[in-house]
Amino acid sequence: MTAPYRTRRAWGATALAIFMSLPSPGRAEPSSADILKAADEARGSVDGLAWRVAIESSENDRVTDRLVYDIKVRAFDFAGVSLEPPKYKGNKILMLNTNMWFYKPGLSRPVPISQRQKLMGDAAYGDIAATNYAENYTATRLPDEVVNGEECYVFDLKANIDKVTYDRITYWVSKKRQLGIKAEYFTVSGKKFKSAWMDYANTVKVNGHTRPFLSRIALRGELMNTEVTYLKLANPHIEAIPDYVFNLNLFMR
Amino acid sequence: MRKRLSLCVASLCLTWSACAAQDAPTLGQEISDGFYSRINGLAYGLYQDTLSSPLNPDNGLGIASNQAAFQFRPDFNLKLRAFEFDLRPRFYWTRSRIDYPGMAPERKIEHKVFLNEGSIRFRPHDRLTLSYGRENLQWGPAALVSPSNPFNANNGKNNPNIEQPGLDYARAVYVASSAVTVSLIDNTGRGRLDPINRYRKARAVKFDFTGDKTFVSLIGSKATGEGSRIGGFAGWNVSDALLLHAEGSAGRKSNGPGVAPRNRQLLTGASYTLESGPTLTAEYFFNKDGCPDAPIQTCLQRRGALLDPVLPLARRRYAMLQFLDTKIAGKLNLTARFIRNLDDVSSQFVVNAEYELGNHWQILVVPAHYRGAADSEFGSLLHRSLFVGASYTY
Repeated sequence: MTAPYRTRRAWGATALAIFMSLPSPGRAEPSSADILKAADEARGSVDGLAWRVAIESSENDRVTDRLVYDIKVRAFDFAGVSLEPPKYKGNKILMLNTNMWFYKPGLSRPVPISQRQKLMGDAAYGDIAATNYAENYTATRLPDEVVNGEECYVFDLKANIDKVTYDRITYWVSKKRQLGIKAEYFTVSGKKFKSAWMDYANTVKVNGHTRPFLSRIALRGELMNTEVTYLKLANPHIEAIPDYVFNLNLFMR
Repeated sequence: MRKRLSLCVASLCLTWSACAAQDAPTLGQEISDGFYSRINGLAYGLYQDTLSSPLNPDNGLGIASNQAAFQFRPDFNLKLRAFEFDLRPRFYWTRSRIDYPGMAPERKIEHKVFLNEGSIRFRPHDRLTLSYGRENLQWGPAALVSPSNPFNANNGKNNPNIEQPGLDYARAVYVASSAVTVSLIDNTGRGRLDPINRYRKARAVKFDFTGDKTFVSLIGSKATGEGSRIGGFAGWNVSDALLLHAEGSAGRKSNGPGVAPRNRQLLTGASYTLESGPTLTAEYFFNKDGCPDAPIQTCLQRRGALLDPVLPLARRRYAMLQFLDTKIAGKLNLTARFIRNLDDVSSQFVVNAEYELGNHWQILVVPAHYRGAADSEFGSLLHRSLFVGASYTY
């Protein structure tokens, strides 16, 4: 191979790389479903993941109540065991195929509960679960907006099935990071009742790739403006989770 | 060169041993990681306004009018490799006063130490779990009673602060997939079931299916002295707010002497959770072989037992309404339930209030009110009762 040929090939490769990196007017943006799927993956929608979540209810920056759950997730199923405070130690939550059960020591059996049942402050039991906005909601793109200096896609999400916690959501997804950073939740009648802000300081390694993972959700109800409920996620890690972990007969007792 | 090589080997060895130590935790670490404990102490006072009725003439049943009790309830659990050990020993101390009309009250102090639940589980394979021991084995979505349970249909929901007794079981649970489970259950002994209860030794096979928005279970069972039975329960999450459920069982009548038949029982119900959090539940229970017309004392005589764990309700038709809300003002958990006997129109109204004080304490108050004629089911023993307790968990 001659030197001029090598030089020509190097120039060609550089030109191709520059061309590929240029924003092309005809280049398609990712679809709404792809954006939402990527955002879902950073909120737990992964096979075999475990983390610890502290749910804190605070008023005027003072923590008034706190719960800690050990969570194991596989796709959209999850099993949670309460670790703190002592009075709730051993409480368990199981979600399997969108059926949810709750158990606490002393209760003779697990009871089926609704995802919208109150967990603490403005957090419902369904808020602990991973989101599946890509499949469970019909997304309509709204005009893009800038949130905290970050360019965002904005979606109007309408539930296309009955089993989800919220009927309608306005969802802001960072264009650069492909992460959902803000959400507003609406009742069936269209009244806004809750909003959420999400941070992604955690990382998980999936298939050799390190990717950002949810670290905090701040939930604020529309009625009590001084109260904020935080879901703080720590130590997310990939873990093989067999079927028996999500088995009602074995998990709850 | 040789020195450098030996240094490299030494550092590699150190790294390897550190990694090996990281990868394989010691037995002590495994025990420490897999150990769980919950220590609970419950002190309570119970006041019961007893009634003199044909079922309980001059308090012949010896129902305590006042009771002070302390219960020490530690729970221990250890998950170690393929094994899981569960131990729930109990210490109960009770001081009771029993009033009889025209006589001096009887006072007695009792204390007992026992194992309410304790089992060993072995998991030879991810899909198979074998267990043996004492458990309070309950299932199903129903709040009033669990008619599909051939071992103990009484789910103790009227006062969840009082523990239900553990019975002895051997179980094999095969998790065929995340949606399908098959269990073989052999009730090997009456365990902590109070001697006043009738006890039937039973075996069951249980199939569970959890689908999208639904769950269904079928239970086939055979109890000593009874015909075989088929039972089941199902739930349907119609929406995130509405859950419909049903539970029932049917079996062949037994001609055995003194054994009440359990022919057909069906419970249907619905729960609706409001957007603000409270859940409302309504249930209707039909017990085909219940006793609709006769005075309750006659019904119980026909049943052959004052208490029957698989037939906790004696009459034919019941309705229940329940309100449940948690974290009211961040502190109060409240359940109110109203049960109406539709045959003799007696009723029971129970409120279970749980007030949270800090991270360890809970104050418990359970007032109950009973209405009905002296020969009715809910009007024949108590007029009212009040349970006040404090629970400390560490």
